[in-house]
Order: sequence, then C-alpha cells, then structure tokens
Amino acid sequence: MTVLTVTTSRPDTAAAAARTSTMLSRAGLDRWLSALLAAERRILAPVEVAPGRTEYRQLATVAPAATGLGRGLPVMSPKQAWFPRTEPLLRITREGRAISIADPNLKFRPTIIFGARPCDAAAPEILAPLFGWDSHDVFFEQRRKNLAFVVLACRQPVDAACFCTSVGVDPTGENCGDVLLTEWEDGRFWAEAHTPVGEELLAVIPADEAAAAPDPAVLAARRKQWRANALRRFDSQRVAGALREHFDDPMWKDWAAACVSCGTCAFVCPTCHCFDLQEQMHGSEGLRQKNWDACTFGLFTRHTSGHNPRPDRASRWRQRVNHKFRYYPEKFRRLLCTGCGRCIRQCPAGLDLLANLVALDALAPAALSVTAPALDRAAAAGVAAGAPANSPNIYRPYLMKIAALREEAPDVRTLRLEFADPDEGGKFDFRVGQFGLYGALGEGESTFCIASSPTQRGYIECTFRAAGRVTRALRRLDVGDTLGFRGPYGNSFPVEAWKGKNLLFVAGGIGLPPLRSVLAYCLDHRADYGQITVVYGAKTSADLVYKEELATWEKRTDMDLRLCIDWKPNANGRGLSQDAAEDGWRPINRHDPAATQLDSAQRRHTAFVPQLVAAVKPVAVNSVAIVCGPPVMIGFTIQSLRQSGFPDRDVFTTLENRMKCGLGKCGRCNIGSVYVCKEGPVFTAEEIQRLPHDS
Amino acid sequence: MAEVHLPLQDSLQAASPAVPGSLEPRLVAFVCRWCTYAGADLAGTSRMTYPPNVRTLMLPCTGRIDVAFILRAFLEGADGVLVSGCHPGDCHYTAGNYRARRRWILLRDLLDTIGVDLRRLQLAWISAAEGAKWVKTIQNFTDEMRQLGRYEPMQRLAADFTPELALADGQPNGYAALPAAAPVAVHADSPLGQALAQALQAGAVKAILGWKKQATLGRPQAACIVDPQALVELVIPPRAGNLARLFKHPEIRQIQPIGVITRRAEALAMNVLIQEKQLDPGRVVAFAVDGAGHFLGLADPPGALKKIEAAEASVPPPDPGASTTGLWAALDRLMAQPREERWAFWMKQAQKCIRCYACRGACPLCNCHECLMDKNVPQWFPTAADGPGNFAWQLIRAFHLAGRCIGCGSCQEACPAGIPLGLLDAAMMRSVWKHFGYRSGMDPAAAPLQSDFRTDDRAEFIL
Ligand SMILES: Cc1cc2nc3c(=O)[nH]c(=O)nc-3n(C[C@H](O)[C@H](O)[C@H](O)COP(=O)(O)OP(=O)(O)OC[C@H]3O[C@@H](n4cnc5c(N)ncnc54)[C@H](O)[C@@H]3O)c2cc1C
Ligand code: SF4
Ligand code: SF4
Ligand code: FES
Repeated sequence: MTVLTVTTSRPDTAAAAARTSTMLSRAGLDRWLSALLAAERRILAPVEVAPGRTEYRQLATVAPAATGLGRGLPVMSPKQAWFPRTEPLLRITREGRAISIADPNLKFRPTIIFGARPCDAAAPEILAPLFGWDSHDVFFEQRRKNLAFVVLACRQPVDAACFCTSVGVDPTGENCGDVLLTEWEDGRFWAEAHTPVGEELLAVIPADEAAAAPDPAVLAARRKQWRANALRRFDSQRVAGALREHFDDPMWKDWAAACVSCGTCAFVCPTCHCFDLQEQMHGSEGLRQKNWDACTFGLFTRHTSGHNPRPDRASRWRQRVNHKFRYYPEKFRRLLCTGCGRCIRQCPAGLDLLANLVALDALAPAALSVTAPALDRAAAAGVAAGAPANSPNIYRPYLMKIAALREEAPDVRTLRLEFADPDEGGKFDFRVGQFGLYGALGEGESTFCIASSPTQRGYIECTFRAAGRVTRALRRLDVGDTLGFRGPYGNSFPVEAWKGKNLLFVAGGIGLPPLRSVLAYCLDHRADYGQITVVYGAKTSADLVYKEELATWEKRTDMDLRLCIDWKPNANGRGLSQDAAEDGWRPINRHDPAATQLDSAQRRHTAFVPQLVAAVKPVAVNSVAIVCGPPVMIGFTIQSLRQSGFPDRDVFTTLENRMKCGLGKCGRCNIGSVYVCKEGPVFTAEEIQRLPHDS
Repeated sequence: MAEVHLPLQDSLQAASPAVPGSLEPRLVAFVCRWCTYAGADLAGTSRMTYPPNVRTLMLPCTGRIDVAFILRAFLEGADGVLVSGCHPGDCHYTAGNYRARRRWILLRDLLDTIGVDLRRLQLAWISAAEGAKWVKTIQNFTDEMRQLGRYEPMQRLAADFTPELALADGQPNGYAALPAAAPVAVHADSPLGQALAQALQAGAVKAILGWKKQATLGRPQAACIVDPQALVELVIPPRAGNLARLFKHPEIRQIQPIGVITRRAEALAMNVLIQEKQLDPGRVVAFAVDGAGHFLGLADPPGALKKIEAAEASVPPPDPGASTTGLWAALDRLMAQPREERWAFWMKQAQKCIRCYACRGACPLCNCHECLMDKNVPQWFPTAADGPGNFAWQLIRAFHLAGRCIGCGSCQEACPAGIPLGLLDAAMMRSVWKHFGYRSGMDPAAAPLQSDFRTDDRAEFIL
C-alpha cells in the first residue's frame, strides 16, 4: 500500500504551471484582496468572530480579513465550500398525483479560500477519488472546479493538536494551493503561484509591489525549520497495520468511553464526507437534499428493523478511525485526514484522536506486512450506474409508472414498474442480483433488489415490506402513480460461472425477492444448470411471498421446491411444539433434521429454514448455494451448509447494509475497504469472513 | 367545517398548502374532540357561518396537542394557530387541559423570547355547547390575522436560509463564550483522593465517575474509573459538561453502587434524574465538591446538593427572577429589544446550527430513548441543517428542557457553532420561576414541572 502525499489542490495543472511570484507588504495584500473582491469572486477568509475564535467568513470588505489571517485555525473547516451542510440535489413538484423533477442549480460561483492553512487546502484533493470513482458527483466536482486556494504557510503548529506532518501534509505548503503565501521575517508575504489559476490571481496585483524576493537558499532553510517545528507523532503505515491487528481489542471501549455520539468531530473535519439523502416537501414543492451525516451517530447504520451493525459508541469510534487511517487509504490510496486537529479541539467529550493514533503506532507489529486490503474487488463492471442520459446528476432518478401491483403477504407488496420514457426503458439493462433505489418522491428512497429477471424486458419489479417512512409512502401509491428509480447498482450473482452446477436456493421471509430474479433467469436457461433445489420459509403460510410462482414451481419436475413455516409455541407458552404449525404442513425431525424422510408428494414442512436445509441433505459436490434472508437465518444456514460439506466459497449471499446513495459516495454501507452498494451486495460466505465483522 | 381525515402529519400539509400570492390568512385549529370539536359541530348544524380560513384538526384531548404540532403548523405556512379544548374542570380525561395549559404558558414565553408574534397563537376554552363562542373566536381571530397579514418572517425561514451562511455571515454572535479555567488535579493524599480510594478499595462503590485530562490538549474527558491505580488521573474542571450525562449509557447504569464526583451541576442534574425515576438515589454515592474542588463529604445526590449549598453560601445561587449578572443580564438585554430584533437575533443563531447534536449529547437531561428529531414515522421536522429544521430543533430542545434544565451550560459549551443555547434555557428557567416558583433540580421529591399542574395556574391569556 502506498499512500500518496497530498501536495496541491490541482495536481493535473501543477506540474505545467510556470511559476510567477511576488513579494507583498501587508498593505499590498489588502490591495490585492480589494482587487479580487472587485473581480466579483466570492472570497472566504478566516475572520475573528469572537475573542480568540476565528471562522471562515465571506468577505464583503477587506477589513475583517486582518482579524483572522494567520491567527489560529478557524473552528470549522472550509468544507462547506465543496460540501455544504445541506445541498439541494433535485427539485420535486407534486400536483395531485402528477410528479415532475428537475435538476437544481449546477453552476457555482468562483470562490477563493484566502488564508487557508495547508491542512485545509489538502482536503478536496483527498476527496476527489471518492466523489469521482465510477460515477461523478457533479456537485462536488463543479464546486471544486470553481475553487481556488490562497494558502498561508505555517511556521509553527497552531497548538499541540496539529499533526499534519504525520499524515503527509507539508505545513510550509511548498507545493500547495493555487497561490502560496509565506510570511517573511520583515512582515511581508512571499506569494508564489503554483497553478495557472494562481497566476491569474497574482496577475491582478498592482504593479508597484516590487520588492526583493527571498533568497531561495534561506527560504529552503526556513522551510526545513518550520517543518521540523511540526513534530511527526506517528507513522501512518504502522497505524494502518495496528488497526488491522487490533480490531477487536478492548481499548476501543476505553477510547470511546466519553463519546456522546454527536457529529461534531465529523462536521468540523475537512475530510469527513459521509452524507444523508433526505427529501422534504413544502406544499407542492420539494427537494431531495444531501445533508452532512456522521458515522458516530447511532442512527447512521441502524436498520429499520432496529438491528444495528454498529450498536455502540466503541464500534462507531473504531469505524471512524479505521475509515480514515485504514479503509480509505486501502481503497483510494490517501489518508482521510489532514492533521488539522479540529476534532481534538472541538469534541465536546474530549476524545483524543491523536493520542489514539500514537498508541496505535506503538501497538504496530514489528514487521509490517504490506498486505493488500482484505477484499479488493472491482466495482461491478459492464453495466454503468444508471442515470437518465440527459442529466449529469447521479442523484436524479428515472421516473417510473406503476403498471401493476400485487399483495404478496401482510404488508408485502410487489410493484411492476415501467419507464415513463420508453426510450430509457428500451436502453435499460441489468444483471441478476443488482438493486436499485426506489423513491416515493418527496419522502425519500429505499433500497430493494430488482426482483424480476433481466430476461423480462420493458419493466422491472420490486417486492417490499412496508416498514418505515419511505416504504409506507411507497405503499400508499397506486397503479398509474409515479415513482423514482435509480439503478441498477451493485454487483451481481455470477450465473455464467455457475453453468453446469447444481443450485441450492435458500430464502427466508422477504429474502426471496433477490433470489426470484436469479431463479427466473436460471429457469429461463434451464439446460445450463444441474439440479435446482429451493428451500424457502416464512413465519406463517400467509407470510410466504410470490404465492402464485410458488404454486407453479411446486408442480415443476425439473426443480425441487421445499417450503417451511415456523414451529408454533407449545400450549404452555414454553418452548416449541412438535406439532405442525398449520394444517397440511408436516413437521420435520427437529432434533435430527437430516433423519427426516422427505418425499416429493409432501413439499410443505414445519421447520426453521436452516433445519429444512439439513433435512434436504443437499449435495455439496459441484454445487453452489445462494442464501438470502434475515441475518440470523443466514448465519445458521451457513453453519448448516458447512455441515453438509459446502465450502464457504460456494455459498453466496447478499449483505443488506443500510444504504443511501447506492453509488459509493455517502459512506453509509462501508465495511472495511468495501462499499457494499458497489462491490456488493453479493458476497460469498468466505469473503464475508474476511471483512471486519461489524455488519 | 373543513376537517381532514388523514394522519396528523399529512393533515397539516393539507391544512396549509402554500398558495403563493394569496393574502387571505390561513389558520389551523387544533381542537379536542369532546368539547371544542363538538362545539364547532354545533355551530355547523345550527347553520352559523364563520370565515372559511380555518382548518380544524381534531385530537382526543388538549393534553395530546404536542408543541411539535403547533410549530409544525407554523412551518407549513399557517398564519395563525388556535388551540382549543374543554374548560378547566371539564376535561374528559380529568386533567389533560390543565397539563396543556402549563405547556402553553411555557411555550408562549419561549416563542416570545425568540420574537414570535404571540397574537399568532390563540388559546381558548370552548365547550360542546358553545357553538356561538367558536364562531366568534374564529371570526375575531380571522379578522385580527387579516389585519396582521401573512406571517412573512416565519414563511421565509426556508427561503432566507443560505446553506453556507456559517461561511457567509460576518457577524460575531454577540454573546461571549463561557470562560474556561484550568482543571484542578485530585491528589491521592487530598481528602477527596483518600475518600475515593477508600470507597473503591472497600467495594463501597464499583466505579467512580470523574474527569481525566485528554493527553493532547489537556481538555477534560469524562471517565469511569474502576481501577484504584487510575485515580491519579482524576482532575476537577471548573466547567466542562456534566458527569450526570454518563447515566444515559446502559453500561454505566448497570454499575451499582457507583461513585460520582459531584459539583453543583451534577447534584442538580442527578436530582432531576431521581425526580424522573431515571436514577435510583440509593445506588449513587455522591462525592460532593465545591466550586474550587474542595471535598465536602459523601452523601446521596440530594444530600450532596445541601452540602454544596451550605459551603457555597457566600456565592448566591443564580436567581432566575432577580439576578442581573452574567447570563441573566444578557437575557435582560435581549428581552429589552423589540420583538423583530429578537427574531432576527435568534434566526441568525439558528442559521449557524450544523445539527451536530453535541448540545443534546452533552446535556445530562436530554435523555429521550429516541429523540423527536430522530424519528421519521412521521418525520416531524427536517433533519437538514436548514432554516425550518434548525428553527424546530432549537425550539424543541429548549421546550423539552423547560422545567428540567438546571443551567449547567454543558450544551452551550459543547456547541461548535457558538450558539448561545444557554440564553434560551435561561429564558425558560426564568419563566418557570416566574409562573410556578419552581427551580429544577432542587427537590427530587417534587413532581416534574411539565407533568404536574395546579388548578390556579395562570389563565388570563386563554379566551
Ligand atoms: C441491497 C439491499 C436490497 C434490499 N432488498 C429489499 C427487498 O427486496 N425488499 C425489501 O422489503 N427490503 C429490501 N431491503 C431492505 C430495505 O431497503 C429497507 O427495509 C427499507 O429501505 C426500509 O426503508 P423505510 O423507508 O421503510 O425505513 P426508514 O427507517 O424510514 O428508512 C428511511 C431510509 O433509511 C434507509 N434504510 C433503512 N433501513 C435500511 C436497510 N435495512 N437497508 C437499506 N437501507 C435502509 C432507506 O434507504 C431510507 O432511505 C434491501 C436492502 C438492501 C441494502
Ligand atoms: S468523538 Fe466527540 S465529537 Fe465525535 S461523536 Fe463522539 S463526542 Fe461527538
Ligand atoms: S451543538 Fe450547536 S450546532 Fe450542534 S446541534 Fe446543538 S445548537 Fe446545533
Ligand atoms: S456509499 Fe452510499 S450506499 Fe454505499
């Protein structure tokens, strides 16, 4: 793993820039600022807003800049310039049942961040690969394109919380920003342009500012000294190594013991970029918004069911540190930290990131193995992330019309969706196992797999349970109504590689929809596969979804369908009854499921899914198993399959982490260096073993 | 009568759709089903006429009319909100209207503090027999709102908001940050150090809640100390949050008995927790210390407060009624300004909020299992750090702490945006003192203010 040192906000142009430079008096600096203001640029600069407190503020006049320039570090980073705390992504108009959408403003004012320290100027460059991998976040990219940095070199760290040199940020900013200002001994500023944009900025400096340039040798010596002033506190490679080795250590509990689960650390941070997608209507007008979010909030990963993969403060703090110093570097080859120290200064609970990093450095194994990330998978290739062709906005959905709907089970409904624009529908393609984001426009989006098969053209289907805000709103829609769809997203099941193999499908409850797509595809290509066995269970017979298909599949002789429903509780309320849960459902041998004799006349059983899997006695040789359902069921089924001889690499399942963007941007689905929305949701049991286990 | 049979959330949207350009005021009435709704019905069946501007939403009882409903109605574009139910003594559920009245008293003062025009919120008792009173109330309210015009400042909340205002606003917040002083170390041979070590070694407590110094900047960090060896790390900061907030964590609540280094702020907060049945006083050993960190002895939390009060007798406790120093002086200055200025001041403050919820996390009493702002079925308020969302959050926080906030200042100290949250809380403390002679945290045996009532609570503002 090589971690690149971040040097400039615009590396592509830096090399080519012919440097121009000048010496500026304090008064000259003010005149330069006036000239920039006159040029209608938006200028953000540190301003003293209260005694001892500076903040980035938009300058209306030059005067306030004098109060903040070079004084401490503003409390908040300037990240709102590239990532505002709330940003409109889509305009929604609702008139009765008619819905229309439009892109918001995509033009951003040229902005100069004046007097930023190198640690703030380093941030956009660090985030660029995230906002630009595979799909491009036009909001970030356009804002960044219109951003210029006039950086002020640090001669001394602001305080003990600064650790830029430990994360590869140069406090002297030698190659940093569009223009670098270095305060010289005589109180003048040495201004150097590093980019063509910087040269343009310097070009407006009044010509009378001609003073001798500093002697290059002296400048180099000073820089060396200033760099040395900012002590290196830890080695980031060693920290990454220690993070890998000490995931489960009790120290995380200690380190996060005071945490109050707020978002301060993430919100003051120049590089924290996780966001929430939210929609709100006001009368008939509404917005989809991108809002700051933080992995330290308990709600960040909590599923609607209440299950939370990161339920406590320790696991959330561990995620924050790992994401910055291990996962993000593994994936994007950059540390997700500029060493500004803001989280240490602002945390209301006094958590101490730097102390934690120093401790991790000390814990690092002596011989650092330069291991590859636990999982380094290519993002789903082949099918580009879908976005309506006429817009650069990746958060803009296709509009779909509900062509038909079907009640599957209590609270579970299937929608058949057709593209409002048939052209888009004609071009649309996906692979089995992929998912999409279905939007009840004005309420939000929910993640469901595409439950139909790609062999069915012209429409897609989804099946969902009404659980929370969005799914309830989706349930209120009727045939003819409009909803939004983004997708297809994520990877898919390797149905091509499975040719010639036996397939065992195992599903529980609402876990059948993702498998239905695969199964439909494989049945359409029946000759390509060996035996096909399906084990599907739900709480009661009413909760089984796709009852019509189940009836058809039950009759097919080229596949073996086995259904089960849960045991009913004993009459005395303690334990489970040995009896059938409902009429017509034959109990299996609960204590020794494999001893149950199954026959083809009786396909309905009383059992838990993993037990029925054991009873089916699946052949492991030349077979793959595909498992979907609630996390507990998946866990026990994998155990049951292991006992039947299935190696973990032949067991496929889907991870259903909470998702928002589906595009590998919002950070919500991140586990280890993997974004489940892009590199998943399909994983083998073996791959899941290798992921950090907080899912 | 225009009534809407939708979930409350949707009814609110339906009740006050944005009609750009319309000058007619839009009014929302929340009424109790047993009295006012029946009264309005009577007016209807008696063919009495009244302006069509009002949308009526029926609730089981005025006791059910959450402050969130009222705020939401304003945010949806209502120009005036009427709340009405049974006359005192007539509540179908005995005392729902008395409890509601307490809330209205507090809400009115809160809205007044932030500069909401109180004429926009009308409260009334209208019985099932008073069809004529309903008609007259609506008529008068509509007339008055016609005169006042649309409630522009409220309706511009969303439009006036610029997401980058924290960057764009050049104004300092005009309210100095709380002073920070250096933490005092707890020496092993000091009376406190000895008492802590003894209690921990003897098993009288299983752990001690106290403060450590963060390594990097020496900022205070709350700690739960189990190992007597670690006691040397303890310090007592003059401010820095409130240790009682740690009781929000299940793993801390499980430790019993537990020792708490108890300053005035912790004692007051624990008293409120005891009062609200969130803390068992028998399981807490308070190590009382005065403002300078001197040990005053062991007690239960109420006892600790008494010791501290006695020791600090020379320092008069802030009197929400009369004190003219510090926070109270700032509040006086604010309240001396015209309403429009107060509104402008608070909207500027609300604009700065980034919705980090540090204030909520740092507060020992913000302890809802699930915060209203985190609930999304229904989604009462925007989670975005935008105009309406921040307005709602600031008000909901202050209101839910009215009669509970003990004034420790943890929220304000935590706020990275420099919002003077304590000022809003102080306004509520003063209101609570003025109307009910109540100071929170003083008496763990008293009934919590907002769930209590008196039949002679103020009522002159109710029609
Ligand atoms: C890859 C994948 C495929 C899925 N396929 C299906 C399916 O076919 N049928 C089905 O019924 N459910 C499926 N789910 C779960 C489904 O996404 C959530 O139950 C649903 O989003 C809950 O939304 P809500 O609005 O009711 O809940 P709320 O709690 O109100 O959630 C609101 C927001 O949180 C997000 N969210 C909440 N819980 C989850 C969750 N568990 N997973 C992802 N996002 C969540 C939603 O996207 C939404 O933006 C799938 C999840 C994933 C990740
Ligand atoms: S570490 Fe600090 S800033 Fe971050 S969530 Fe926890 S309390 Fe808030
Ligand atoms: S701490 Fe300040 S910025 Fe954060 S949510 Fe509270 S008021 Fe808003
Ligand atoms: S990164 Fe947003 S859902 Fe995966």
